[in-house]
Amino acid sequence: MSRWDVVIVGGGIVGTASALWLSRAGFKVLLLERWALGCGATAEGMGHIMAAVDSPDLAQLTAYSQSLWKELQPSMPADCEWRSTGTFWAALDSDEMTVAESLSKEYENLGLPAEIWSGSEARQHEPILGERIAGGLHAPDDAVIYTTNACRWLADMAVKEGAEIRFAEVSFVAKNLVGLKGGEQMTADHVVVCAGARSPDLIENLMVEPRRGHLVITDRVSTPVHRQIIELGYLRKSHGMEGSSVALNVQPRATGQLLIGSSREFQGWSREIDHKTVSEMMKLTINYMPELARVSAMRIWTGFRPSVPDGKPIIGEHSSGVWVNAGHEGLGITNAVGSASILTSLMTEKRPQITAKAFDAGRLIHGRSKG
Amino acid sequence: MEEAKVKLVLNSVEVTASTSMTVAALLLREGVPSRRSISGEDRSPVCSMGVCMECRVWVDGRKVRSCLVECREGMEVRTDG
Repeated sequence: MSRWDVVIVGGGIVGTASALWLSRAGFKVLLLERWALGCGATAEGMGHIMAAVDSPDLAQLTAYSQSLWKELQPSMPADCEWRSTGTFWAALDSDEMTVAESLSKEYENLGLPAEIWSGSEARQHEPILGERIAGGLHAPDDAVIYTTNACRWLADMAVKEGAEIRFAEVSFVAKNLVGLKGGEQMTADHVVVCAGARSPDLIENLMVEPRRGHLVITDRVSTPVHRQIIELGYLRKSHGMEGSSVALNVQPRATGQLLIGSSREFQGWSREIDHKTVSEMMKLTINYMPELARVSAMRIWTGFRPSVPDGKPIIGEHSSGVWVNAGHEGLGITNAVGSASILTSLMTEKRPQITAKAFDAGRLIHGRSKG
Repeated sequence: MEEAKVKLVLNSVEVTASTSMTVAALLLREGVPSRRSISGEDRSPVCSMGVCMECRVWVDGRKVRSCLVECREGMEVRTDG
């Protein structure tokens, strides 16, 4: 008999959320993390909990995940810094306003609120926006959290439900077996790899790779910004697979500073800052928010999203007894809870709350011809 | 480097300093906080090597880390942002 019902590899927000959901379903769970909880992609991103409505599969998953976060929010400790910022999708011209109109119908189909604003309404709500803004779409239900603390909180709740957490590096996974660096082995009915872009180190040919992004944190700005402000072209750019792209994504922090993204590049695991990319990001930002030309950037860093070629996460059984929940690209914070719920439904052979077929682990495996 | 006495303006008050001092050192000597946090707490230089960001002030209209800037004749330093 196995020592554990489930061993989860990876203590980022996807792994800790999975540990919580599986423990609540009655599984005896061990979570393995090699360094610290939430120290990888979880810590490197913006912590935006958003509905991504442009692709039907991600729209379902993000909307479902958002509803789960809203259920968790009343019991969330203050240090998770939940803020109901909403999102403003900014349009520069009438073509982009047409995109805003069609996106607003997608929100409506999902039962989520969204409102079209004219340029002057947008400037009234967000005075930092410049004259070039033609208007856009306001999605009030989106929120922001402090990711590493949220990750730790999910882990704490999992432990209260009976899960155990151990800090150790995994060297291999196999059916019913997990091997640690140093030689120790442990048995489990199910093994779940939640190691983000590092997952292919454990599962050969898994098509997840690191997609680098740059983030800039500014000094405090004098005009208050209330919402996360993203350009309307963002979803198209972020789901596309071209070599590199830059899209406006600005988040107000509680300190009055702005967190500015975003870029997407395939550069392996190189953390080096590409100043040309940062300069493109800043020019784009100033185009939308001219007064930021006079604000200092305090720090610039890079992080790595776990990226899958078709832009969708991998959630499900990869081979007998070996499961994957990884590849959430830039939506891992949002989708951690929804994907944990789907994973748990699949493992307990219940029908998931939303269809999980689009995220099937078999669809991308080299040599298989599914989908 | 030869040290010279200079006059500069700190929050509209003329003060004397030396070119061998950083602006952060001047702030510490004068007991002037470098900045105020969003919750209203006074902040002063901590690391004095450009990392902690607590010593940010305006120098001649530019926001700088005062620990990385030496005092110069005629400099205008403001700590109101």
